[in-house]
Amino acid sequence: MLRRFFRPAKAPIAGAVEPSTPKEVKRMHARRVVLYHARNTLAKLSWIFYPIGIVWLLLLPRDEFHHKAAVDENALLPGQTTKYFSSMDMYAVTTYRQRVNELAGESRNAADYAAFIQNELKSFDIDASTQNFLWATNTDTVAGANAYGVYRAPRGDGTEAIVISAPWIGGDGKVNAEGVGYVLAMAKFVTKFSHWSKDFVFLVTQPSPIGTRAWLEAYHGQAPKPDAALQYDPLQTHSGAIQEALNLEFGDEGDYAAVEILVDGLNGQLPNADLVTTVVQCAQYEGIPVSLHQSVTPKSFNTPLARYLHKADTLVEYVKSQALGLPKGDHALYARYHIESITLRGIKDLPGTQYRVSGEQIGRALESALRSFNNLLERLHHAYWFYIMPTATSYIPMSVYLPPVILLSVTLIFESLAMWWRSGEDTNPRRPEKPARIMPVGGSADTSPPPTTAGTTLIARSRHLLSFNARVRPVFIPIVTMVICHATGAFALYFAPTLLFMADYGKINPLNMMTGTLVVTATIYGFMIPTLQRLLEGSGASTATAAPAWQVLKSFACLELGASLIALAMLNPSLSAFLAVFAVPPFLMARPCQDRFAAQMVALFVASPVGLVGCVAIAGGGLDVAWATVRQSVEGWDAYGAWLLPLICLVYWPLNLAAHVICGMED
Amino acid sequence: MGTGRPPAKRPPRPPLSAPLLLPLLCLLVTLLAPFARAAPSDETYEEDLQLTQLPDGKVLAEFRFLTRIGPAALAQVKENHYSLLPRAIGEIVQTFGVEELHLTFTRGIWNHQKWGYSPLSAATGVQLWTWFNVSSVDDQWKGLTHALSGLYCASLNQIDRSSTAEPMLSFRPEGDYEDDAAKDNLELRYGSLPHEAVCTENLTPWTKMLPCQTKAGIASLFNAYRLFDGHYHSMGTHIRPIAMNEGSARGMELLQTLSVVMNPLRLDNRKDWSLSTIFERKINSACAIAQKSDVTVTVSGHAGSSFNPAPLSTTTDKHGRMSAQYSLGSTPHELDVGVQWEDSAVDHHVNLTRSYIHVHRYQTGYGGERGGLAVDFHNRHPTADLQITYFETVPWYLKLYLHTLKAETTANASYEVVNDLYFQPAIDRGRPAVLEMALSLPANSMTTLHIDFDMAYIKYTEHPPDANRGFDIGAAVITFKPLDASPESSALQRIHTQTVLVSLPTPDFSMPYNVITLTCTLIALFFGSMFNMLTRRFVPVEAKL
Repeated sequence: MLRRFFRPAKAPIAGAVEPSTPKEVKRMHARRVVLYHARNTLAKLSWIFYPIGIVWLLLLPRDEFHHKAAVDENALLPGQTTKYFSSMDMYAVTTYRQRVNELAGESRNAADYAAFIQNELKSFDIDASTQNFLWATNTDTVAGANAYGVYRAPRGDGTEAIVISAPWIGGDGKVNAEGVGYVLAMAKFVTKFSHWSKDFVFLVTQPSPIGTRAWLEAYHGQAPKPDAALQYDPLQTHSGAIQEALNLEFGDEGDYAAVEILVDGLNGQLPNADLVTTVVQCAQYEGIPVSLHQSVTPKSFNTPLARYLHKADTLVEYVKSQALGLPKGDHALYARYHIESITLRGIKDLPGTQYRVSGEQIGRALESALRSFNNLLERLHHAYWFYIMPTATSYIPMSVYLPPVILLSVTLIFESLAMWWRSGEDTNPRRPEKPARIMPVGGSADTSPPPTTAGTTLIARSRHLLSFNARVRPVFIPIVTMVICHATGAFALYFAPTLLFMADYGKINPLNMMTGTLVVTATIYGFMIPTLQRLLEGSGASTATAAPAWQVLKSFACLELGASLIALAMLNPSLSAFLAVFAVPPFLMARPCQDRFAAQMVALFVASPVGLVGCVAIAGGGLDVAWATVRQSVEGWDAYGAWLLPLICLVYWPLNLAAHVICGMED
Repeated sequence: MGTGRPPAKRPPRPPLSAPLLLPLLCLLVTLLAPFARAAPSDETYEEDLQLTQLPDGKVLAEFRFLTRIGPAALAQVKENHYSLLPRAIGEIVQTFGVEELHLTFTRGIWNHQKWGYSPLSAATGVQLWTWFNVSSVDDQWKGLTHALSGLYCASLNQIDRSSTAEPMLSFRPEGDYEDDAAKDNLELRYGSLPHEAVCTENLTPWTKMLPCQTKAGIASLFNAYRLFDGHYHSMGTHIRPIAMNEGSARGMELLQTLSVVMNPLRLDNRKDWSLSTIFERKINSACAIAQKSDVTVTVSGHAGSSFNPAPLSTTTDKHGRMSAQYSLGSTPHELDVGVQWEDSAVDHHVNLTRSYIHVHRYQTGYGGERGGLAVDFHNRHPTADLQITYFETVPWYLKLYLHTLKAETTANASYEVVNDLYFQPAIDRGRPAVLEMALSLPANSMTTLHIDFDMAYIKYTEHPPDANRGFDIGAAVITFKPLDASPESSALQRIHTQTVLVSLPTPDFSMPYNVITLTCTLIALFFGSMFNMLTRRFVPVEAKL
């Protein structure tokens, strides 16, 4: 069947042109040509995605990319109910605020606070209890206590619950007197009505957010491991599956300028957009300005540039907060248990605001939001879980923000492919020659028929396709390098809490530790790897038959970093973009090269974790900020399971080391 | 009946003259006239309302409507002649060979910690258990659930084979039987619908079974707006065989109960209450058919309470609770009983002396793959070890692992908590897992049972078509003999745990999900061919010539 195509075509006319090449061969040639161009283009132009991504990211603050936030779940109907929260209930809030402040002045003992909350909740006919826990930190052991109460919905079956929580001490370090007051007043308030279909759980934690973690673990029936730093009691009473959680932080005494919403939780995980939109709309129906990252978006701007800058500023704050992924409030810890949660924080000082929010407005907004959540017959699932908020009332959907983030890192994937091709093929690939028939050899005019058919039935194999051209890819050195680098990272992760402990107790200067890290880095890429290379397999330089090892290593490293960053873009786009912006250019440039060695090293160093912390120090204003960031990321991993530290130690830093090695290798 | 018989049984007298006979005949007709409707003389109907103010100020109203059918009337029922017994009930009982039937519709959770135990407490949703005396029980059970479903406008027909259990230890026949052999021949089926929304559409057919419906008697208090505004609402239908007289043939008892917990504090912020404040109705007249029509008001032994209007009599029981009796028959005017208090203090504390057993069940674990069920049994009695039976049905889509069953107690590690265990593994789509245990709870201790399960990934058609939040596991039933019961009494007390809501791994059935799925499939296909092409080397193959 196939042979038919290779048979010489019958000459239609004598003395005609060279007969056409068979179809299969043509197709094969066409593919080769396409592939040749694709490879060439990708190898040369893969960097183009990076600037496109950067430009796209810079365009994101523009209004064209923003969608107005609307509630997708019809059952929520935010703000559509009659509200009953009155001045009498506000009186309860202020009374409790005074009592909380008095108690906070009298006692430093969390158990006393919990007992107070428990007694108050019991007086409203709510099943209240306390939970004690111990948290061993590096410096001391904290004895904490949570107080909680379950209000059973009348005629409810106790299968679903909404949590209303407040930390005793807010995120700003002040006693959260009014927040606790709102929790207690709401507890008193909800017992007056029979329209609730979900239970309410009222929770006050001290200290927080570790108390919230202890409470949530115990609520879900998880016993602490015997050697864990956090030990807690089991709970006396439960409600059903918690669906939503509202966390209240009102550390001042009334007269707030705005209510701030804190949405991003641990590891930058976000609650369902409907939860955020409902809370924002309920607040706005009551005339409360809602702020995001300490700023309220004005209704109008003087110039388009001012509009752009304002939104860019909010977005940068948003990215900073999400990228770190550390718990900023009690709401942050609920996401792991599939609970949608948000923190509302009263903001007292907001530049340029005259308006003051009354407590009743806040109370009614809370009531309104609770009524909306109470309406729900199903879990929140209609709206997105992935979005970026430039203002409190708009969002950038995933389809708009994700492409630039992926474009940044996809460069690395193409670079990896290009390196793979380069290491296996000719160093200088040429355009594939057109397949031609082999000319008959030694044919004479006497013996053979007239040359109406040029050539034989055989087709010549072009020279560049010879198997001898393909080079051997050395994989041993790259794999050993990658393993050593990753092992170093794993050690760093393992010892990070210990190092922090030493820093706390032995008063090790953070600068010394950074220097130590640098020494380790230098040892690995300057001494260990080259020595191993020499010992095991020679220099790794290219020969006539073997490709240089650095190309394969770079292919591996780029592939791993690119794939990790793209996967990370789904979960935490801010962190992915932040890392990609710094890491991609030095990775693209990395190659053994004498003249640009210093520039490469500097770029790689800036992109290394130490360099990034340095950038944070420069941008954030000092070593203290940088040190606090490091410290928080270690503690976040230790206490809450934040992924930032493992990601850096297990993926990002090892690959940065590998890139250093590439620069030090031989071509 | 008692007053109806003397004329008939009157001993023979000397013959009377005709002028005297006529008035006597008239008198006889007048006397017998009220009983002409209640044709067989061995049917009785009584109603009873007990109003109890609980220590936390809530008012528990328990309505009991008791119809007793004697053997004679029961024989007539078999010939399709009905008088007091509702025809719908009678037909169901006869058609499906039902010997005993217990059906409850409940909203809310009976808070036995604060309200004590009640014989009328039931599991949230619908709970049905029936004793049959026929052979093809499964068919009869199916027919029964469908018939009751139509009768009460409920989704009882959804109790299919995969949610029907046969408990072994927890339930015993409650009626009067000839002997124990008769009891042993009965077969039991148990089913529950934890997520049934009980509402007026279930109440209306239920009230239609009452002889006076809601027109007269204590049932005239049924104001659906108020009944369904309380903290707890449960209505039940209980049928059992009874022996009316010693050694005679058995009759039938139909008991309809409704209990509702109202909160006067929430309604008008006072502890004082009366029928007109909690039901917005008064009792206008007695049901003429009822032999007995009583109202009892009970308050805990708090000083400063006064009954209004003045009761016929008051009694005080051993717990110090004071009861006031009223009778509808003796009250010519409308009755609006209530209690007034001098002080408004309420007691929210848990009553440990009256509710020494407390059971708390909850789900453990998080995530959509596996989880566990934990049950805390508190025995707060200072000295007595208590024997209880724990009965749990778990739907087949939660794969229980019996080897993970753990029983731990805070009392003494060597104490044998588990006395008996019956476990029936589930069959997918066939039957639920049944776990029944006889437990012995040490005095003053907490015992925790824990069992792990995997969540099945069920077919997409098995998810409910409407908006749903997960799957409910019905309440577990804890059965025990009350401590103050006499040794020979067979009365059992039941308490029920909360319903547990389980989120199975659920695909998001919404439109974006479909789009994502489709797009990902396309991308995967495209990626495969693209990657294949990019990494392949195109080399001519030597053709065999």
